[in-house]
Amino acid sequence: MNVVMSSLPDVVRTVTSPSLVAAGDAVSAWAAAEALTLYGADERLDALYVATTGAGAAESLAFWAAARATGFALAAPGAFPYTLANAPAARIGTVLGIRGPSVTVLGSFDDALDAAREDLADGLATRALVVHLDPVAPATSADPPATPWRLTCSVVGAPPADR
Amino acid sequence: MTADLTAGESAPVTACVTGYGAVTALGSASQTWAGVLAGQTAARPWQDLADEGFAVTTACRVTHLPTGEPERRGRDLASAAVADALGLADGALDAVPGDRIGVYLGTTMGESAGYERATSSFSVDAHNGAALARHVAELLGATGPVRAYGTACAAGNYAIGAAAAAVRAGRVDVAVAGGVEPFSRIAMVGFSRMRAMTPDLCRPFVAGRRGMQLGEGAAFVVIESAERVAARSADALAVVGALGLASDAHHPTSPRPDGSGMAAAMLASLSRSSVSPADVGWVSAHGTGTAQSDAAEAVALRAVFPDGVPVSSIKGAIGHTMGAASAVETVVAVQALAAGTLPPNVNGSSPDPGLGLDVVVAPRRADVRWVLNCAYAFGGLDSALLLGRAA
Repeated sequence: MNVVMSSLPDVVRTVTSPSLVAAGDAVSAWAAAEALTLYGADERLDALYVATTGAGAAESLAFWAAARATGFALAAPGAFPYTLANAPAARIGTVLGIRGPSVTVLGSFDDALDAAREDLADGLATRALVVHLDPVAPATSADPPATPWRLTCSVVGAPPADR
Repeated sequence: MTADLTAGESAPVTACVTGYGAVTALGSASQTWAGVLAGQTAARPWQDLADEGFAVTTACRVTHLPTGEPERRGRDLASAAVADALGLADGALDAVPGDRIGVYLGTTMGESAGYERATSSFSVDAHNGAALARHVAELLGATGPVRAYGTACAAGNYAIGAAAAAVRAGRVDVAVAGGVEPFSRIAMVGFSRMRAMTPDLCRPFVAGRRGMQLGEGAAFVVIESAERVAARSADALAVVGALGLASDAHHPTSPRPDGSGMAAAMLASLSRSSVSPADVGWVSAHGTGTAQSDAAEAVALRAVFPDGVPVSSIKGAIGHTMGAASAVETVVAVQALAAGTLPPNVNGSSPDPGLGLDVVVAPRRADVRWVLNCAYAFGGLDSALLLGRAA
């Protein structure tokens, strides 16, 4: 199957998150809001590809440190889903209403672009939002400081339909 | 999966499984298969978890491998499963250039102990799923595509489906694909605090089921084209159909109650593989034993298979191995196809009649041609992958 790929210019945004439990929720919500602003009108998006290295990592450190401090019986249940790398994809996909593939790869923006292009060529979807979301500086200690996050977005796949 | 070809078109490539390996709390792949057929469960209470203050102390942990370094537990599990898979595939990598070997791996937490035991020298690059994928690539001498999926409890299906697609597209000659999940204390706390974890046994599709149970493990398959398998006079153990993916776009953790995302993934795998629901002889269900997920999955299965289909889950036997789960279930599906036997729903011999499912409560002989392996995950991820009988 040959797929004609169109690619919109990459869009980059940044935000700074605190190193607190549930910061992952805040980062995911921010990324979803940005994506909605940028691509909410693109009704033909039927897949989402997210690349990340750090999503879930800082949250895992914070969740576990807090659980040990409070005792496991008082650990924050609402924070646990954000220890997973695919939490931002869940929030973005829900906000944009994307019901097709939701794919999170652990790597770079290029890794997500490769995965999206291969899957589109394979017929899994026709038009994908491709996102890279990571802290500007990766966590390098058990108690990472507040750090800015960078969101990079693009769209690949079939051109939008004429209106 | 046949089609009429016109002049100039080449025959579609069939992706075949030529080897598999697994490590679960029941043992190796063959021990896991035997244990599931016997209705065994690996679940038991753990004193170390009680001593550490966990509210739930029952889990399915691997005990037949050396303990090793906690932060390298995932690597150790993966190494054992990959070694078994390559042994069964007997010579699959012989004379294959490194850049023609691909690695596709899925996980939820990565090296969870790396986060739990983090020190001032912590580096995410040492502990996430990409580190596990690089480890497998190094084992194989693979320099081709190395992809790590962070798609939580459906990650095994994503990895194996992508690997089969890479083989079909000719991007690699051999793909090694699967999932890894070392035991995670973070997940033990998280699922318990979400009230999603059973305090005793995981009982998929049973009325009054009380939740999931955590396991650990790894499973990998070796995938090659049918042409290559024939050329080296090897045996194809199964064929891999097309992956079906969909999303709920609904809630961070809960599935859509109408099962529409699950059903969409199932239908996508079937239609993309040109396989009719009537040709599916067994569904390897996600079947976590939680009230919501099992109920939604039942709705989806009734919609996709209105005439019914045998269904069972192995999570009562080995727990929920999260990112490894659908990879382990792929291995079990390959064994079921070869044996012509449907494995039972362990700890679930009295399924809830209200779910309207044909739950396999004892090993059942069957001329099964296709198995649909279903896996879903937090974040509303829905996946289904067809595995077919070889020849």
